[in-house]
Amino acid sequence: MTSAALPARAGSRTLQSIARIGSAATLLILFAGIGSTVGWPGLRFDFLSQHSGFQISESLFQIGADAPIWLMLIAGLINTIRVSAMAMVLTIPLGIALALLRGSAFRPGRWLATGVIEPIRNTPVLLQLFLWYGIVTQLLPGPRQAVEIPPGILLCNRGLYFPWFDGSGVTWPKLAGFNIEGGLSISPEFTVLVFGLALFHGCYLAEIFRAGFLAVPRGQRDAAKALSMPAFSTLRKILLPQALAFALPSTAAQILALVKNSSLAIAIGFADFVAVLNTSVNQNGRTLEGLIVIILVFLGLNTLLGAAVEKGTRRFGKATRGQLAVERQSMEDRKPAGLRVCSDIAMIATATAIFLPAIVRIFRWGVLDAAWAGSPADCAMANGACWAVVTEKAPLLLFGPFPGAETWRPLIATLLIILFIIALGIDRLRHAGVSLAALAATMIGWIWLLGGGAGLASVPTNAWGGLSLTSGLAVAVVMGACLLALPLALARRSPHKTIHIPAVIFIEIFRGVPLVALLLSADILIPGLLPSGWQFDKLWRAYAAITLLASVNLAEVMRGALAAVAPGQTEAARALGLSARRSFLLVILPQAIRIAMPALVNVFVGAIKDTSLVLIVGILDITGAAKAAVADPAWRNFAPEIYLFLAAVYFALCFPIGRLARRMTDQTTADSPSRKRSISAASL
Amino acid sequence: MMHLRRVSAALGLFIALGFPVMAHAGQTIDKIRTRGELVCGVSQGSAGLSLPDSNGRWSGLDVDYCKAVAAAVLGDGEKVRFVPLSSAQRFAVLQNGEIDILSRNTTWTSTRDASLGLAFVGTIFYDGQAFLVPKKLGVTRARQLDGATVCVQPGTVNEQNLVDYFTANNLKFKSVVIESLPELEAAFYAGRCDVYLSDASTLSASRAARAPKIDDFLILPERITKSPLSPVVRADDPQWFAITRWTLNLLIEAEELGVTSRNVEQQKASKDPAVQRLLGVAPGIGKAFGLDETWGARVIAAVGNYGEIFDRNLGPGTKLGLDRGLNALWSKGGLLYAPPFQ
Repeated sequence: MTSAALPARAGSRTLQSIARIGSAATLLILFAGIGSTVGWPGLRFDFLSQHSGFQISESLFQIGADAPIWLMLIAGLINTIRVSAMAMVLTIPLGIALALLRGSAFRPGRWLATGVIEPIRNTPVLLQLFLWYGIVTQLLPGPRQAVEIPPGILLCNRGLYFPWFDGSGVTWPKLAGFNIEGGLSISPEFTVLVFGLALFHGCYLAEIFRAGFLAVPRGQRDAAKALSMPAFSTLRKILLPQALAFALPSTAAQILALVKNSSLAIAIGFADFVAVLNTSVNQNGRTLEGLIVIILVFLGLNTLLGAAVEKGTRRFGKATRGQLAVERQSMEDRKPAGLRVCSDIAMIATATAIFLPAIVRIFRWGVLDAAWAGSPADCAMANGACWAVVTEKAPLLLFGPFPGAETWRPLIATLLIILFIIALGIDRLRHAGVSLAALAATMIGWIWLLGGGAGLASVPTNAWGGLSLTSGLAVAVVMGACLLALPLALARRSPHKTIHIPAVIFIEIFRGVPLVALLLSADILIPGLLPSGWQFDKLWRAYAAITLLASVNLAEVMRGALAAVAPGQTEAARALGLSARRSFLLVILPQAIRIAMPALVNVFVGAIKDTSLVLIVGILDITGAAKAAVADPAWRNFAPEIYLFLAAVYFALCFPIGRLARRMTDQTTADSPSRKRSISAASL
Repeated sequence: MMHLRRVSAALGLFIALGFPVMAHAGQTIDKIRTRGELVCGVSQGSAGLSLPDSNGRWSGLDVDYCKAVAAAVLGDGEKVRFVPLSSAQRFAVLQNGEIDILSRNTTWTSTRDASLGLAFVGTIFYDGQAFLVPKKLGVTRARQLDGATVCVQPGTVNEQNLVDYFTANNLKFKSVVIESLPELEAAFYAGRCDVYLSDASTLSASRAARAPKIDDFLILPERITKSPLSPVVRADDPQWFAITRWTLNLLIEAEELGVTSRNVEQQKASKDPAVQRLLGVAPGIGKAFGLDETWGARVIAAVGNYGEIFDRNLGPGTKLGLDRGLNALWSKGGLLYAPPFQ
């Protein structure tokens, strides 16, 4: 345990690369080994050189259907890199701007930032992409009515068209037949994907940057003041380097997540790497080979990016973090309270004036004019939202395929989970022992109600579904990740190579590869691996994968936070006579958790949303149920209402966690400032 | 540490719940009988073929076929577990033995038949791809689509067919490939594309349900491909293959002989030797498959004949409102033709 409290040494770069190559090799061996024991038709990659026979919607270079599949994949990969790079460039300034706003003393600004961050962070990014894409395609005119904003530049729902040079000179975009031809164009799909991903991850980054600022112990600033250091150099020389040490791993993790999320492209019609691979795999059925290609490519991207991102953030962060802190300080210092209230009121008044018409319209659409029950025909008649689709599909959305006569069981199970979440928010009930007991009771109750046994008819896990599954799974995933994360973080910080390298391999595999690919491979390989008909239940298999991913992300956050705790803290604690273990548990860990809190919330929220991936193993959770609901042709026109409902459900599951974490952070900081102050002071 | 105990307790619980009874390996049919249920891979939601209703119960043509097989093998059409699958994982999950049969709107092609170690049972639904266009474009034939933007769903043979057709006719196109059907259709009706390419059945259903005005949209007369949809099984078990293939044939033959779920009991008294063989009154057919003699009667009693299944899920009385078209019996101008039960 002492080792964990040592200052974090990034570990030599060669060691990291060895571990990354190791992780790729491990996976390959795993695949090959399992493939052969299963008696798979044999891994064959010859399909890569076959003619693709399909065309992709956009690529940087000319490519036709006669190109081999590997070339198509490269075109797709370039698209992936293009989207990721653009989104990355946008998301970091956006994250900083939001962090600035949210950390500022200017209350309406804070509210605005919160109003952006919370809905975006707590709902699935896929639904956001649907929303942005829907808005873009609905609002922009067709090519024949294209808008010309400055002459020569055309905008329509097929894209934004610029004049561009080709071999013979400048070509101007103009309408030719169905489409606008000539010039250079940016497609709506590309734009929406870049914007959607940048906004989504910008909101996560905002919280990470905010956490970075909170990470610096207060004593550091006091000490600098005592040495009469000017405010700006305090920031630059004392606060910033420490804040960065913490924010880096989480920032890198977010950037990697962004690259992985670019594989959602297929949902809105952008031909990224995964989309191209999917199409070719569908033609020839070589799923396993396709998965291997995906995993290798993403591990490669991960390795390249891992190094580049950390360097980039370091340089970029240095310039901007200063601003954040300066801004916050100057706000705090200069504005008298009375003036602040006045400006708040003015801001609220202006905001209301600006947004009121929109709010009224939304209220009319969503409440007054809405159809709350009835048939698709009733909905078509109504001017407002069609909530009837939610009422109609309610059993599917709430209980999935659970046997009809038994639906009271998932209903009570869901209420149990909701009760538990509410109880967590009540201060008086919050006590470590009580909470853990309540957690255990809730989980056991949930599993018993859904699964049956002890008096209830047994229901197999494949019949579980809907909200009753998602809500319980969310709690279970967070619980599992909390248990696994700390050992993992400590293992990665261990100076012993025998512990360190396996930990790195494990973490890199889960962090670098899209979870979908891992789940799919597990789904395909595990049944062959288990001897003679033994089956490990699919739901728990998916649960294990989602929890492992969450714990890996959590471990990375904790690693950063542990590194951010000043080394003097351990020394001071030891000097006060605490044992190594006690000084870690009582001094280091609480501080690390407090520092990490905003980033921890990010991980929890991500994990809860990842539970929707159980659809891959054939279980209809609430996302799967929603997808099935909108596939019904009678109700397909009302997909937006279902998606809104879905977003609201995820928000209701994720948002309380953020609130709770925030409250706990505030409390711990308020509770024992004296002890922390004294220990920090001792370290100086 | 306290934590450890809790972890191991939780782990124990999960493992205990995670391992159901051991099934012994062997022939597919033995496995199904030991398990007591048929495991059937279906789509994640395709109207008329396989779709969970508001209460989570599956229905559709593909679903009813699985129920028919379950009725043949297990004697009860309800003893089926439906596993929703994405198009990317469907073959792999069949290959590794997690499902007994794939009944998921899958097009029968030579590559798939030859290279996957799988066997296609027989065509359960004849479909063909067509183009849907807004009338205001003034297009009446597919040849006029040069330079158009086409909305298409990925993951099936659609994209390849699109290229084949346009290349063969020396036309250019751009594609917008969107995975989820509601989003794809929303994009098309918003004007993101000029043309929507899909199976004709999907197109007419889509137009009926989603077009602001049905008459503003036109399905072009050309059918650019053949899309025979077929259930799929592993190729390593000839007995299982025969049972699945002949269950499909049974549904078609029953329609031709006029045997329905309502009259199957009376038909047992029929003097027609073909009906007698089909319903097991004259023995011999069931035994050859390793089934009992009344399997045919059971299947029809459970799900009805092909015509009944079609009408229930796809026919004019449903939201999809499809005509039988190619899916009529051969004797009525369609392509459905079952080899003789002899």
